[in-house]
Amino acid sequence: MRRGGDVLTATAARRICRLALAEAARLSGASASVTLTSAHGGNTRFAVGEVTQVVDSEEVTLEVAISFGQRRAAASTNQLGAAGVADVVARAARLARLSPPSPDVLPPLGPQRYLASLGAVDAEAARLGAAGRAAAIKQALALAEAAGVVLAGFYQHARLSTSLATSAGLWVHDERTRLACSCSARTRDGDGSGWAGAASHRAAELQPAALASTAIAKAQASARPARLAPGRYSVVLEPAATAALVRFLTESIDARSAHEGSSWLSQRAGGAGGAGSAGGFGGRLGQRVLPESITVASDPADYAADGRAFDAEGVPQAPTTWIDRGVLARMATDRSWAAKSGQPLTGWPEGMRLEGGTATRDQLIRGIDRGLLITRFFYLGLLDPTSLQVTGLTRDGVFLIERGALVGPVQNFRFNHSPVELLARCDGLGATQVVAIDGGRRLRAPLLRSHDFHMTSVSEAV
Amino acid sequence: MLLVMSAFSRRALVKGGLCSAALISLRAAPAAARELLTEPAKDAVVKRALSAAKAAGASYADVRLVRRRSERVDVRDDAVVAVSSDEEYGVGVRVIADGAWGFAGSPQVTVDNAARVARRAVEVARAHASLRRRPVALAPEPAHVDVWQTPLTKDPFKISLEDKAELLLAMSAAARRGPGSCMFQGHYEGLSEWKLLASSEGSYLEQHLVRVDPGAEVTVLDERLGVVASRKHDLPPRQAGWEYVEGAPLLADARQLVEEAREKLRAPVVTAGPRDLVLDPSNLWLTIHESIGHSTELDRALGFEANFAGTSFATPAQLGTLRIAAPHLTFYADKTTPGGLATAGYDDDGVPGGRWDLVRDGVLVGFQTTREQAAWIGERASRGTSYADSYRSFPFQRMPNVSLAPGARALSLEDLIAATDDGLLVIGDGSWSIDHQRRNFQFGGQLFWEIRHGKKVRMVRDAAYQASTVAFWNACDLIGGPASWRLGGALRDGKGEPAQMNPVSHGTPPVRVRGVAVLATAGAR
Repeated sequence: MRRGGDVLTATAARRICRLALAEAARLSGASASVTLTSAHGGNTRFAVGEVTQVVDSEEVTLEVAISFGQRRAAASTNQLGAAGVADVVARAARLARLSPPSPDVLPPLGPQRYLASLGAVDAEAARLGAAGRAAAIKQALALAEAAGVVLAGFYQHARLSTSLATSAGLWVHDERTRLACSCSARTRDGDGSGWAGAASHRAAELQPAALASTAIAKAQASARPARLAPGRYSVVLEPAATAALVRFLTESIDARSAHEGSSWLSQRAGGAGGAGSAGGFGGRLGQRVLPESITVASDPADYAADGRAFDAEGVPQAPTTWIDRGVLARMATDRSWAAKSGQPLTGWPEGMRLEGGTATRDQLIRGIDRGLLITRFFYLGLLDPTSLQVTGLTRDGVFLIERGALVGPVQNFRFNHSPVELLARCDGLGATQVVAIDGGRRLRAPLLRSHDFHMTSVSEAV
Repeated sequence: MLLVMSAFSRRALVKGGLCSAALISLRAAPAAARELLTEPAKDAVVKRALSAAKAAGASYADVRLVRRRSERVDVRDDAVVAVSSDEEYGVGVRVIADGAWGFAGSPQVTVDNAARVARRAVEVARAHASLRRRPVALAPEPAHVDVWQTPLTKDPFKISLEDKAELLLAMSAAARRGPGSCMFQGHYEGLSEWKLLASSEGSYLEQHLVRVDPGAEVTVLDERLGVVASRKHDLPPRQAGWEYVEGAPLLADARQLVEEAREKLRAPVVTAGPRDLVLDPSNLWLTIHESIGHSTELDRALGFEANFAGTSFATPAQLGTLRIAAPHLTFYADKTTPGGLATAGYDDDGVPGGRWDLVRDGVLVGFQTTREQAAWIGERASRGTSYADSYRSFPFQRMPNVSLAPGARALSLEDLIAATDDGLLVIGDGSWSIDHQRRNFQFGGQLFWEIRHGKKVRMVRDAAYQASTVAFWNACDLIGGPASWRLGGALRDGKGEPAQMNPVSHGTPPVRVRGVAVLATAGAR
């Protein structure tokens, strides 16, 4: 890494990638793929009304995959000097020579044409540092102090670079900025809790004080919750809740899982047709899998949602509709599965979204006779990949809706429900927001109304 | 929160030698210790970082050089589908300046860069110092100079890749031999964590920890009905060498995994309702992890994790009074458990590993602390649970091995089944979820058998049990004896922001718990 911890420029990255490819070229019969990433960023945690952790972090990773015919292995290092580069190539080569031949090994990808990623770097985000974080968090803490609630949260930002190069001539370099902030407010008696979060590549879209205000208002509004029985409820999900559940669906558009029978998109016996003929399951490509109001798409230019012009293998990404007005239009394939199955190569997309609609929160609430407004979910776990049954809990603000109006806070629930059921019964969509799921992978998801959402037990947690 | 996990095996009780081996701490004289592993060049780097931090105004500093290596082999059916070797090395400096924490890390391990990183840590601390309510204060700890390493007989990084691939491919062949199609996925992962910790108070500690994780899962399908069933091996990851992998009954169990998966394929979905549960250690370790392990983290209990993983039902004000479990249950934290994934000579604050009770005779008696946290509950010394997962990660409170002590009576799993009139036996870990105060949880499993009149009568599938922590542990009425105690665990337990991964083990005997809600999880297909 450069002195001072800057991310790698295209020139610097290309020099290191070429060094690795030159090392690999000295090995008889070797082909090579190189992935080089760098990041420099900072983060601050705060809790119980004060700053608790401040980190300035630099990291680089050089990963080299070497193939000798069908024998392939990968190695990585964060030491980018000549010795480090030579060592990582040698390690990958040694492992590759020892590896049994694999049918999944393909020759490295050659030159590709990619969409330009202009605008992924936000100048304000790139300038952000410890002092900027501290100033923003100071405002947030002051709001909580004035409101008499306890604030906790996290604010992080980074500049990142990703470069791919192969011995077959592929070269691509991407730079971007990435930020996320979230705030949780708790009433002093521990009886109310609220949360708000945002993620983007642009600093202007993250306002810690505004997030703190939302969290504080939620905490105050959620205090002293009434007790409500478990059961099936109509729900309005805020984007963070929608994203947490729908990510199980957007991450299951994988063609291989469908073929192997372990997906909700596998063609099944009974109602959904028979098993495939080639020792596996057919996919439901071209079939209606969800209502007409539901569209799942990806956009490599949606940088706020981590969209990128290429995937990890270097496969070019274009704007793609996966579920088109309820019909399964495409399933994702990596290079190996596309070659094996004969299906079109799509690569694995980032910048995924569930399309939203025009309804406001109040309009969605007005359409509910008795139901719940849900801020977010917590600790979701997949129970059954073939039905996408998921369990999890509500958190940081659940509010009862009666006759089209908010009545007041209720306690948390555990649910057992599927995003397929959620979307099958969806009858209203609002504005979308980028959500960093568990602080990591991003998904753009809307406010959403659905029905018969299965709350299976009460959670006493606040 | 538990992000990535792997499991445990009642079949794979490690051979006596490893299990009984006391952890060897090479408590040599300071000079000898320094010479054992450390090179002068590294010594120069850490000294420069400490002096630069002090010169920049830090009242406390520690510097860690951390080298992490991992090796992984993945097998699918008859092919090795991925082989990788990852290495990461860097320097991290943590300081207290103007009463605030600051941290910086870099992969460039040079004298000059270490000084830059140290100054940067002081700079970011100072930028936030006005946002502290009270200055950070550390519990006193003597300066330690020592070397510690995982006791092992076979360094897994010296075992050839061919041997590792061969073992997995042989297991795959054994699983897929015989009638009917079966998909096999196997993996081996070896992890090496070397670190040198030096502090401004004079501690100088070098540690080398080695962990291994062999694993396998089979999937069988009924093409006519269009249904699949999977069975994951219960073998847990362990802090150990290759001898642990060699001694595990992976090959011997391969066929049994397939037979169990086939039985599961044909099994009816469980009938929902309250049941008496008999929980095998291969399932219970994860329930202990989530309900007792996380709830007794002091930072969580006091609100420091409120934004991410949540808080806890257990608070310091309830020490000595909160009845978490039935009176015959004692849970203890232990940084010295042989083979435990969280076992270490010292934590990342430089505090020696120890053992203490968290829940004694059913009552909350302790928390997990670091040097920063001990005084928060009036304790004079840290329990030694600080950990950072990388050179670039801030060390904070992480879970030690947390275990349930065996009962006094020599009861086995079979004895618990025999004593149960109408129940459900749960083997292996499946899905897991718990609320943000560690109250309402729901756990799945690998295999479920109905118990009638003291006997396993038939397998059922797609079950989960749901309960509230305190009610659940108070409803535990039978517990296995010392011979039934087994160690499970996970390599990657997530906590903190940005999330850091902590390896941790949990030992437990089988238990019986009365009247727990059982759900059918399959949903509408």
